Amino acid sequence: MQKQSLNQLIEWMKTDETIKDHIQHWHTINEQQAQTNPFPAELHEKLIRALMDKGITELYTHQYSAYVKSGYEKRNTVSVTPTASGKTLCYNLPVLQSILNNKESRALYLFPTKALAQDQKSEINELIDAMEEDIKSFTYDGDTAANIRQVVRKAGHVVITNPDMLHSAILPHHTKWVSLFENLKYIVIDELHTYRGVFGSHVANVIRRLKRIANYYGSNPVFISTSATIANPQELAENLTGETFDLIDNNGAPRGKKHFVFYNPPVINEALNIRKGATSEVNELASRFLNEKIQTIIFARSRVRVEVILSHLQELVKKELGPKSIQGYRGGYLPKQRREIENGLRNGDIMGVVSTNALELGVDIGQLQVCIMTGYPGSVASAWQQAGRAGRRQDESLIILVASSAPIDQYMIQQPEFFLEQSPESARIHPDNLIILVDHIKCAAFELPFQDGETFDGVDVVEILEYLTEEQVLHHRGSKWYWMNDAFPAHGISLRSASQENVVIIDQTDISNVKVIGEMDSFSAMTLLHEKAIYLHQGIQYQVEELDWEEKKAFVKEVQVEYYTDANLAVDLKVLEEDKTSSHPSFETAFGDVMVNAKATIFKKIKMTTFENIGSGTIHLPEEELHTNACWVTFPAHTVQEFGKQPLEQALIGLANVFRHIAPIHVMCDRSDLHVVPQMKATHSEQPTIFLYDRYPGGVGLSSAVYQLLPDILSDCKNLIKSCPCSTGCPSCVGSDLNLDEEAKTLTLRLIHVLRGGITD
Amino acid sequence: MKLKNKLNRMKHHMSHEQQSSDEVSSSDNEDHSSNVQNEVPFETEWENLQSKPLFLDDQYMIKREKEYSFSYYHGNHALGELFDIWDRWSKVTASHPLHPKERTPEDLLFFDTETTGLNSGAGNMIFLLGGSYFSETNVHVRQYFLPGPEAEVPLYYYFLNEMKTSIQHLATFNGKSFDWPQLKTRHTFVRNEVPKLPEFGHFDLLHSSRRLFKHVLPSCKLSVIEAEILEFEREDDTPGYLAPMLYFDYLNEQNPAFIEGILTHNEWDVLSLITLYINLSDRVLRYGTTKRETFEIGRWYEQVKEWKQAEWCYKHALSNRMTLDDWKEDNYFALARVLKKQKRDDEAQRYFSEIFLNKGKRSIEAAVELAKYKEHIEKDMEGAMFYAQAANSESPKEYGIEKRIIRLDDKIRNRK
Repeated sequence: MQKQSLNQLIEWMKTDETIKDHIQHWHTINEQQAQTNPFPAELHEKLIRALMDKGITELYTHQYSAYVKSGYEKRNTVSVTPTASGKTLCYNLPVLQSILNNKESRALYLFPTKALAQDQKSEINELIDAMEEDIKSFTYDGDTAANIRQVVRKAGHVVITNPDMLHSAILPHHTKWVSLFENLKYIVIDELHTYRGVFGSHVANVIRRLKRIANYYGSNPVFISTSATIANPQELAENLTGETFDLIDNNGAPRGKKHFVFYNPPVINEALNIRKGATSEVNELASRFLNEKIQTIIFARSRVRVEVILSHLQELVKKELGPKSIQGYRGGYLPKQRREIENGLRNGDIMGVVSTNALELGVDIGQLQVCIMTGYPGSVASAWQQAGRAGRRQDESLIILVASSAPIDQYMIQQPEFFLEQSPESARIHPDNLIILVDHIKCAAFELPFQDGETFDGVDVVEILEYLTEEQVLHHRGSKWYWMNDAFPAHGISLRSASQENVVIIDQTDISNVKVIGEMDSFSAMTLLHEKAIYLHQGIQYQVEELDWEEKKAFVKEVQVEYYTDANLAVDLKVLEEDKTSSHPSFETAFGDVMVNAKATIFKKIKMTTFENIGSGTIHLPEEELHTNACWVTFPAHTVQEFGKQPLEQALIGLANVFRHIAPIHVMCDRSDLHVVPQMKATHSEQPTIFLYDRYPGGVGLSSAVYQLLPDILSDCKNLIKSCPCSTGCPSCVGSDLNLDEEAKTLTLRLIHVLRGGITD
Repeated sequence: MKLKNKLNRMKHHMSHEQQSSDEVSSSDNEDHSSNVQNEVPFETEWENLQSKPLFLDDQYMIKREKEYSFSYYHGNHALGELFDIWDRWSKVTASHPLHPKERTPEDLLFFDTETTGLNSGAGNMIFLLGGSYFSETNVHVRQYFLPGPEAEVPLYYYFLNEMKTSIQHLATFNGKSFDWPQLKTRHTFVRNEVPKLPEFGHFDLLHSSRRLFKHVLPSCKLSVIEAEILEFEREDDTPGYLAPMLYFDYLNEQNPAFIEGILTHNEWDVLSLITLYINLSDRVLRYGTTKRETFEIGRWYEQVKEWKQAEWCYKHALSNRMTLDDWKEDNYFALARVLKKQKRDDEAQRYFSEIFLNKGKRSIEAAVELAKYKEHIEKDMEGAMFYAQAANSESPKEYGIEKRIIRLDDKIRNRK
């Protein structure tokens, strides 16, 4: 039987009765021609020849600009480029040119993951080989053999690494890297947009340390960075490095035709406005494409969802393709597994991938023709990143967004212009988060003593140095602050995870072959790896047999059950300090420090097919204490009186639910990074309050952004509730909490009206 | 002060280990935080420890000196035995890793450091450089002590100037992977203000000790070797792992009493290095004190391609075939191997044959060797096939046996 082509399948979607009715919107993005400039006059002839060998006769406009600004004028640049637009030449050209001009020149490349670093090494080496020049580029990561390390340190012109390695292996041993630091001309930061939140805040501090060491050895490198589309690439680059940047956004790469389909699953319960689950719709659509051997990537938001879709799809296409041809890809997999999947996709052994946004990063996995998103990925920027996975290299491609019942999905699918016209979000970092800052001051002091009066790239650190001296970590003598402790500070500090210690997941199904299958940060582990939890990994169900909280180990065993588990987290909040407040006639908003006490309480067993609650259990884990930033909205007594206590309680729960969906979009974070807690009687004021707090100790700027953006967020909350077709509130808007009654939706709108100072628009 | 409050509140989110509060208080007094003035705190106490400050501009380091006579016994060896060892080495023409070659006894520096941590990062400081060396009259112990982290320039200035020649000839215990790299790291920080680090030759006595003692000692830590081999007993020793903590206490209090124990510990270390060198050399020069040791010395010579010495050792370590197991079988095999290396294949194959007949753990390897011998030297293809088949029946995948059998098969058939 003849396999159907992508064009035939597009036609099928447009005409098939069961499909076309649920297509809310069909958006076509036309192809775009390339815009180019001739090679710059001073570009080294060997480089030109190497480019010609690869069939490149001109530069795209953005590549040309990056060369002129960073290569010629030695200015820091950030280039904004979509997937597959030849961004690597934006940095490879200036870097190679500088090495061709002076063989002593060195460059340091930073990629967020090892896999990306490997990709880029092959790419730059192709260019170097074509030039027939003795230029050495090496990756330097945990896999680099000890005997190679010596060579890399002494003779690597281009050292390709990741921030974690820079943090724990290169900077603390900078005396072994003298020839790199003395001659460092360029620092390349690829995938800039990934450096946000906690990770970005850590990396900003690693870069402060890097600049400090480079300056110590007398070099003053130029930064070249590239980023996917976000609202504030220039601001992010400047915050991350503490330098001024030129923005390059004249993308000249050609693009193939893209079909962007907004698909809303049918309503199955009119009264409650419940739609068919996005997951099962995705399963059906994806298996159709996969069975026609069209390489398809499916994105899902959570690890659990990835595993659920993966096991369904493997079952559905078993006969046609065999289960190995569909693979999962997510953060919790060990590096080796991930690399195998990447290879399989590239050589065509794998037809489909189900992924969390781990694959958003620019790992080159070859051509995928179709991209299906299970629900809105949560941000405009990451939706476009995921969409960019389909149709690399100028081919026609299809992107399907299958909406879930989540409020934001429904809001967006009914008003696609929200997505198509809205500018993407800003990526935020907060390098001065006290805990992160202190961590890196320690590392910096280990690397090089602080001088009296020295700042940490502009940050005044005297009080922190004094504190660390009192803690007997530093020792002040003469005019310097010396590291005086037998520890190696970088080893205790992870750039990636929110909490310092990860829980290791150990599979003991086979007693004779016990193995580690993954790890998870301990805050998430409270609700996902408690005893008797069902943990999914590569589509396999495991039950947690024992969680050793002291040793941070979870022992799991393979099981086959018909349910998943869902745990509750009880939260107590205390306000420690109010930094900012603003008063309004009927409410107050504030921002400051809070202490959160969280305790996992019980878990429910939910049947997979019907979502029925089929059992529960108690979780015995110690309370976790968290000091962080929060933004909160308080209602004084007179408002409570005017609004009515009972109605206000309803509205508070409703609004909190909408906040959970809308606020993360505005501050560009994951829903789990920003917690929302409504309280009728807050501990500090005894008044009704909604708290929004950063989940990372010390805060990473999320709740502070919420404090500033509150009017916009409220306006979007209102639009969301209004656009929801339900009459009395549903899970897609104010929620379907058992405590909510029929008035919840109106009451929430009324509350938003109060909060917006009575504005009606 | 607001930031301080926050820091204290968030203390438990910070990753460093916290000290108990009574310890913390002692660090607050910063009145002795600077030694820019030409006054050395606790100078009398230092004098009592045979130590004196040496100034460079307005900074100083502390140098401690002690002397021992040649007849001084440190454990079961007198220090002066080194001269006798030197004479005996001078008669050895073969090369050996412990051979002093053209060096004189006065060239050597027995060297050990004490550091603020065990890691090898840039923040780990050496606070004590200790060494012992010989002059024409005495054995000298010299210790260069860092009175504060700001004094690295005078420390390395004096150490490198005064020890100029002898640091080219170091004897250490694990110095190849610890002390020397760490010295290089620290030197990088002050490289513009002090002499260059020389190229150096190195006796790492840990490696040597592992060769000779691994099979008799539970571990090759210096303390174990001292107790079991050198018969040196440390009285009231301050263990090395306390060094960082005691140094931090010293920094806060400035009183040398805190690190007195570490100075003695380091002094004993560098004396033990002398007797350890004597002891190890003596064993090598005597070709071992037991058959097993003779075998290990043979392996050592084999590693540096001194086939004659290796052969001599292996032959003297031989035992009869009835007890051919464990290291004894290895000794047979090694002997056959060095004979083969010397192109004495006839002799070699007699030993390979013994090993083959012994049916021990190396009999397959021996069979392979015998097959090679039959095929290439004796041109006896059937004989070669016999041994190849014998090896094949045990482990066909290894040593390229399968290929060999196919090739032999061809040769046999072609001949017919």
